Amino acid sequence: MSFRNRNSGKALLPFGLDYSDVLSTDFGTEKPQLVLPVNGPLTENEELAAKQSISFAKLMADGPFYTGKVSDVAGNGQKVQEQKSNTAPDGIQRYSDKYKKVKKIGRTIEEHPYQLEMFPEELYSVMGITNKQKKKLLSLSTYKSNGGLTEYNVLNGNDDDKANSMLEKLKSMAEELDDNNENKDEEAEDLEEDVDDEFDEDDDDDYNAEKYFDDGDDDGMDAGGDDEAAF
Amino acid sequence: MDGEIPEASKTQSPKSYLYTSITRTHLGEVASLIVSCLMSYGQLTAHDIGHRAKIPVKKVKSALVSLIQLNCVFYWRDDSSKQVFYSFNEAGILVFLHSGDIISHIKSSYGEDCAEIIQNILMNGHIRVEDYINNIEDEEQKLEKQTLFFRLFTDRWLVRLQPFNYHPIDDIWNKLYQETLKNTPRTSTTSEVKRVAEAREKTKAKFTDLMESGQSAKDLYNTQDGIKRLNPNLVITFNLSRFQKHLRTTALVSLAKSRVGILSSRIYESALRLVEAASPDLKHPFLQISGLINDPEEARFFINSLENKLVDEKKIVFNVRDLGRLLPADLDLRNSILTHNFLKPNSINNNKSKKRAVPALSDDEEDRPPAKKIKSEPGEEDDSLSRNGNGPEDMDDGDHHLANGNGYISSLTDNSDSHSVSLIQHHLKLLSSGSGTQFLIEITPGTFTVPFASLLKQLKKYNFETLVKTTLGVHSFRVLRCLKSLKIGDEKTISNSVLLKEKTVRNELYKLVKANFLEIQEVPRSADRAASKTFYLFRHKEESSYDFLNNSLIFSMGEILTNIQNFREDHKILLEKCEREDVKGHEEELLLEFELKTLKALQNRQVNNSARFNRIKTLFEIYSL
Repeated sequence: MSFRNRNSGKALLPFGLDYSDVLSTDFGTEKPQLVLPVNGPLTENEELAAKQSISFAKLMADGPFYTGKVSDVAGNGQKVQEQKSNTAPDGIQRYSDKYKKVKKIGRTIEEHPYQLEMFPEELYSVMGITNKQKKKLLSLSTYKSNGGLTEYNVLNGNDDDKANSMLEKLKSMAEELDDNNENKDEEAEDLEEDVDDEFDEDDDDDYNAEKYFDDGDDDGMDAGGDDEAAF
Repeated sequence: MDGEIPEASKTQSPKSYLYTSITRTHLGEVASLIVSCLMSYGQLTAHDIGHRAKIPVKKVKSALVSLIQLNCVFYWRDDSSKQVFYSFNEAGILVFLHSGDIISHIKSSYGEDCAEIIQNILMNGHIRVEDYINNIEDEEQKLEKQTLFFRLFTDRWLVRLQPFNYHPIDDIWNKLYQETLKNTPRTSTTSEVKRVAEAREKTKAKFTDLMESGQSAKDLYNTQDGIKRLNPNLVITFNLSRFQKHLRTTALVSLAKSRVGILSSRIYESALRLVEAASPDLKHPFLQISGLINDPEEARFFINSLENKLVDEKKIVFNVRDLGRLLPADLDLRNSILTHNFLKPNSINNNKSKKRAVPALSDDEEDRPPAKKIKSEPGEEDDSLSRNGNGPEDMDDGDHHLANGNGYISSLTDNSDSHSVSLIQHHLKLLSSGSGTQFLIEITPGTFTVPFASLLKQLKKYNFETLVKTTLGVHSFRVLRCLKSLKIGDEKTISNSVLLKEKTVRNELYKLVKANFLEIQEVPRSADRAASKTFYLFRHKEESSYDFLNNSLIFSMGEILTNIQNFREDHKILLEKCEREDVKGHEEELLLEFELKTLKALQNRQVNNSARFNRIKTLFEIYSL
């Protein structure tokens, strides 16, 4: 390198620089590189234009073509749960939700007069237009030989069978009657006593301790004096 | 408020950052994600968009409907695969960007009713005239609205929308070109090159016919009860290119104001307004089709030919008298131009024979010396010169300017009328030849035209140089100018030309290089390219500097929008409280004092930031012209 001869023993300088350039750098106080312009106050026209653009942005955000947030949309093709759009993103329903404005996303052709010639056909479905080429089908029925009436399978077998079936019928009727009687008894007892359900008298009175306890109330009702001690 | 846009939208390009930020504030997160995808990938089907943006296809389609309605997306149905491909259309987003300016300009030029119509059209993207009119119940108001529609349409603020406006221009061209090529058979007499050139010319004609179809008076207007009205079945949208012409006018007027003077710039503004509607479009479709016009020389020639055609058809040509009628009433041009009658008022008083009733080009005027035109300081009332009390009685009435064979305006300047033709003529002369920039060209005496193509170049150049001068310093400006004239130079040559020390020149060069305005050319002198034996030359390329400046401005605009979003996010709870239906309209009753103060401060901050956004946007508009 040519400059080695010039500065033997001292620091090697990059090509073209002088000592004064290197030594004069002051890292303490760095002067600003660029003088940036200072913004003056707004003129009336500027203020009006700014206000118009802010209100226009608001109109668009509240308008019919607002597309909404990505977080309202489920990814991975899961079925999107119809959540109320005024619930906060954290999922907690609050009292103030009822005062929040509901933003409806997307408009069908009933809600906005779309000019269909400007749109491709594949988007017609989201605009609420059904496939025009879909043929309207008539509701057709098939021919049935017996007119399709219900067939009742009535049994025309032996007398024994008849008797058996009669017997079964009578048995079931008897059971029903018994059940009804028992229900009536139980209801009567329920009205007299103030009893918990758990302690309802069972049909099986074997384990009812009170049955074996005779407290003498009934002794006076016996006709005939028998002076034997009663248990 | 909506959430953040993905990092990729911010980093892939400054335009992507700005456009996705705007889409998010106006149309929501889903739309901005789709826009970001389309900007990255170009053309995608709806399924692809859903897959890449991780959004269900139904949601994508629903958002695409909104984007198409608002002219933000093109679509193209491929004949072979029967799939529909979507691509990004920046026109819709640019309308959102300029929405505030558009509405306030229409309001100041046409009134509040027209501004309301434009606002509704911007909100809905495109509408059918009938649908809009049917919203109004009162018959009289209906007629009024129809008149306003007609007025806006004839002034080209509204334009007819047709289905092919939604197809990307490249695809339309390719389709037409392939068809034409197929129909042009190969013959033994013509070469392939000739055949291709012939097919290209035919396609250009077909393309022009397609673009101009549906614009005949029969399609657009119908006459009912003797009143010409807009066809109610027309689908119309806002004409962004018309607004861009207005932006061009504003920029040119500001240039004239700084180069010539305030009064002349006001006259220039009126002149530009006369020709604005018919002026050449900023972007001709042929220049947007990739591969059609590749050579920059060819592009320049094409643009000039378009302009010449308009001049020949007298569409961007205006007369002084027409201009006089259009000048604003508050503009008083009296005493704004010094001519010989100011210097020698006595000689005028003696010349009674000058009183004439008929303006005419007359041979009697040839003996009069040509008028010396000295322009006074713009806008200043010079009392010493306003001693023209003797002027009006002796002056000719009205518009009596008479030109001699040399083209000088040799008659007396009429100072009686604030809008006298002679005064206007003087100002127009100043604009055409009074400064280094030719703002007007006088094609015949009294008729002028505006050289838009050359003016745009000057506009960008002067704005750029002023930026460098005010931001990087006067020395940097000198070095830049020097390099422009030298084309390429090293430090020593520059230092000798600008008369600055080499060290200063080196510092300034460093600043310019850091700001990406200069390129460095290495010229090695040894085989191993050693740095000590290398010459470093510097060069300035205009196009790349302007592009870099544009990108920096776009990024700043995106940052401002993010800033607004952030400080609104800080006060999210309070803002949501104000959005509640029970609070809206009753803020003063229901909110606390300090909350109201905070809201006011927030609103002021947002307005200030939006105004600064618009200021940067003004510079961005110049470099996107």
